[in-house]
Amino acid sequence: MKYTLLFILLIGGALHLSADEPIQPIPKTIPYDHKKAELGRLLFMDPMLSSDGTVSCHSCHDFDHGGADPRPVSIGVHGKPGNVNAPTVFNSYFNFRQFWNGRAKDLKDQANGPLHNPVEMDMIPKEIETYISKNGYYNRLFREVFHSEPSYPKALEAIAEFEKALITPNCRFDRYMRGEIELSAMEKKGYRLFKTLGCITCHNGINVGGNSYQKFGLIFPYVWRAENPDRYAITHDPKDKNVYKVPTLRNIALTAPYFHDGSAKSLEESLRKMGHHNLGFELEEEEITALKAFLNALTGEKPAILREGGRKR
Amino acid sequence: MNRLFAKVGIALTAALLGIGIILYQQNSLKESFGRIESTNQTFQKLHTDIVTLQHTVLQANYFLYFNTDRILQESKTITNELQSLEKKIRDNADYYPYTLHHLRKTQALFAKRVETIHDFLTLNASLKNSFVYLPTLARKAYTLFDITKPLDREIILLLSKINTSLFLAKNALDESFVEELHTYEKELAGYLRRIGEKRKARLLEASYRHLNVFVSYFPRFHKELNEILDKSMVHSLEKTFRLFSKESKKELDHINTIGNVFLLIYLGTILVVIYFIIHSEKENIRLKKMRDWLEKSLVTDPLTGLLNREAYHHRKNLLSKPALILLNIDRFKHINEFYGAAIGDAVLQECTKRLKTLLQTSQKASLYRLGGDDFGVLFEYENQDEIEALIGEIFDSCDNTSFEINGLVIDISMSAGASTAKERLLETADMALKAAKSSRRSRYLIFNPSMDVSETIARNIHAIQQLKTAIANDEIFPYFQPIVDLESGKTVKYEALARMRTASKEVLTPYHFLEAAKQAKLSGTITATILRQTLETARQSGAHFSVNISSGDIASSYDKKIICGLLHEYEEIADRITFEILESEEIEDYELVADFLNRVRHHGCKIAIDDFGSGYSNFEKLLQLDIDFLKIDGSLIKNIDHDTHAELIVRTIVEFAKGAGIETVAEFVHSEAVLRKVKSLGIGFGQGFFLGKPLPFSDCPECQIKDS
Repeated sequence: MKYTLLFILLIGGALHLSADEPIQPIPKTIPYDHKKAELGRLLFMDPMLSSDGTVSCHSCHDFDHGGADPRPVSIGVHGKPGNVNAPTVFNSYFNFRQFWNGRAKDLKDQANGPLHNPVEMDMIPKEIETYISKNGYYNRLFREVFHSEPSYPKALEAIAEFEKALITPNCRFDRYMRGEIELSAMEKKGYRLFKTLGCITCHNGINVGGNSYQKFGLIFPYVWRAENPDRYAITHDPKDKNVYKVPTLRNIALTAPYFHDGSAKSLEESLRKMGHHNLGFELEEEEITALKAFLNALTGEKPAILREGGRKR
Repeated sequence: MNRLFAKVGIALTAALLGIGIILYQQNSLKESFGRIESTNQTFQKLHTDIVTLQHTVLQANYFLYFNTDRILQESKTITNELQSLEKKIRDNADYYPYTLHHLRKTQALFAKRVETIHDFLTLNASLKNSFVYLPTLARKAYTLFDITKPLDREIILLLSKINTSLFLAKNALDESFVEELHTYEKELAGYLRRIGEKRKARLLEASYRHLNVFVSYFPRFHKELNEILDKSMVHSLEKTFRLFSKESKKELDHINTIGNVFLLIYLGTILVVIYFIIHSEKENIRLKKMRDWLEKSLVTDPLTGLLNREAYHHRKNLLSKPALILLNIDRFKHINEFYGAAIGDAVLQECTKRLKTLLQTSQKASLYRLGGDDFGVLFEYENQDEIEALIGEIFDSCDNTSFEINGLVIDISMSAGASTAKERLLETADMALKAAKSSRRSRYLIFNPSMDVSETIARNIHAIQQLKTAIANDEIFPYFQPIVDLESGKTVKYEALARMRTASKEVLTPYHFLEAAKQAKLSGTITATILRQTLETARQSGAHFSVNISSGDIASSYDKKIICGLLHEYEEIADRITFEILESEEIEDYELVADFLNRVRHHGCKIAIDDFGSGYSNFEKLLQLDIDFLKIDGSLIKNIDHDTHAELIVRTIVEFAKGAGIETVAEFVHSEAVLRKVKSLGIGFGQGFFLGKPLPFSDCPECQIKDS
């Protein structure tokens, strides 16, 4: 009994050991080079950057699906299926690394990947440079923006600048944090659960995730496949099997299906799976309802750059 | 000009180079200091940031909820700082090889640290998860298990023990508790196999798995946390900083050395500029000296160093009431001729010295050399007495002490003329001087209008003009005055006297134009004209004539030639001509005269000495000249009838002439009484108004113009 009391006291103490809020709102605007971003936008939308002229960045990062791919795995040139569910491009600027396993250190580095990948866009820089140099419109834009010849690195830079602009501010939760609105009881309960259940330990920071690597299936292991885009693919260290960059939970309501393999079709399913595999117990119905309410409050506005209309194409 | 441009160019280049070097040096020093300073600050900031990061990591360990972004942000900041530091150092790699090497090591160490931090974050989340879940599960177990049942009680107890150890292990970071947890884990696995009920089994399994995660992760977590919190990163940075401090000292030393070299170069450029300045200054001084010398020589006299006439005119105009004393050395021409020009010059210099010494005391007077032996003293006029006093002082200083020059003792005297007539100062002073010179009574005079000879001068000029016109128009002609043999009363000869007819038909005697003729060097021409006409008259009349000739005519070879030419022309009648030489004129060169007389004598001409007894006559020389007549001067004859003194002189002359076999002629016989007297004295011939006035030959009584 003595133990119990002590224990409860200590736990209670531990629970209130809270720093400033572990989630931070997204800035309403972000400074970026508009001309460069507009060029990047064109490139982002341009399927001619793929070997068969069918796949653009936008093919797998659909702005109507929260910047992610509604298909479980993305489809590349000549209909080749990939092995991964494309993470959202929205707010990707805030991730500490890019890709599921964080193999790219920034957006420029990331953009390079799919362009090369034979099952994605399957291009070599030379071909892209030829294409953007020969195209008069691109050629003129590159000169305007960079005051130099079009080149592959400059193209990546423009794409990254565009992606930087793809932020989704003013979700209900952010506005609540800024003291602009009040959340519903359910949403609040969801946030409280989010913290007490321990989701917050991995899903924190400005992007509600995207700032650390964690093991998927920490308590109850998740099935591991050799083609998984996990840390193990890079380090080949057994402890890195099924270790991924924690995905962002912003706009999570828009970016089904979930997980690296797109195996969860709905939020509820993903919540149950995370509860089981990473927390080691089954979530109650009401907990799921509350958590869903909270997660829905993370859906922000469509990026301003997409609402601005941009150049005529 | 090109040389000037070249010099200016070099000087400018040097100056610009100097300024450039200084600016560059300052700039590079500033830049270096700035860079070193900012680098030092970067080191300090890095140090702080690393400690902060460690602190943040520690927070992440203890706080249940934690924004991982902070750690990422902080480590990213450090990575960037290290990178920019590396770039800074790399840009000056020459000075910082060790710093750079070690900094890169530090960077690599930190990159590893970041990897560790990422892994730590993974483990930290997992551990926290389990750390939260195990108590949660235990709480659920209190309701699920029945503590009245021994097995259930054991399990509850085990879960409590697990939680206690878990708590201590996590919060004390003590791995010894992990050993305990290992034991509990095995026990828990044992119970798991014995529990049949599904719900209990699932709870135990979850607990077991969480515990398993904790136990298997904790050692790694603990190791990594220690690694992140240890001092190696800070030490590595500090070591880099120490190296940097050492090498930055070297850099500054090097920059200072370069700076000193630059300073030397700069000094060099300054020296170049100074050299040019000195050079051009020297040149300027030289030019200035030259200019001064030129200016001075323009206004000074080279012999005495005194200001000249030019300077005098300039200075005179600056004075409101100028007074001028004009000084002249008496008989200087004589000194020059007697002792030679060198001594003459020395006399002038000595005079100058004395005058200068004298005038030194008076500040206002200035001394000039206005002519050959003319000195001028110019000053502001106050009163007459002052002028006279000054002249007195000057005479005292120059006259009373002899000049000693090259062992010669020379005495000089001075005359002075002073004037205060501003408009014609020099001219009037000169008139006063001339007046003083010709005056027997005073050695100096101060100008008054009566001395103004400018009228005379104008007359002279007019006379010369008149004379020239007359000569050009053949208006110079002789009048003839009879010379009578006193014994027979017959006219034996006529003296040709020059007359000039003016434009107004007035006939003028030589008194009016002779001086002008002398000045204009026309007396020879007049002589020749008169001689020609006389010779012509002689030819036509058969009478005898005498013609005046001056020693100047004789001295001039040109005139002599013309005279001899005429005698040659009228060869047949030349023996009827007597030449009258003016005795009063100083005959300078008796040899020349003798030579001329020999020539005319060759033509049969006779020689007379005119105006004998008026001046200083040199009997001996006259005798040598072997003359035929002496014409006794009118000043002795005109009062001879009652002037015994004159009579005595005339007697002497007549005696002397008789002894020398020379005929005598009395001039100026203007009365019966004089005629009688000269007759009684035994003078052979007479001439004068009483005996006959000068007239044109055709009007002469007893003249016979022979038919040609």
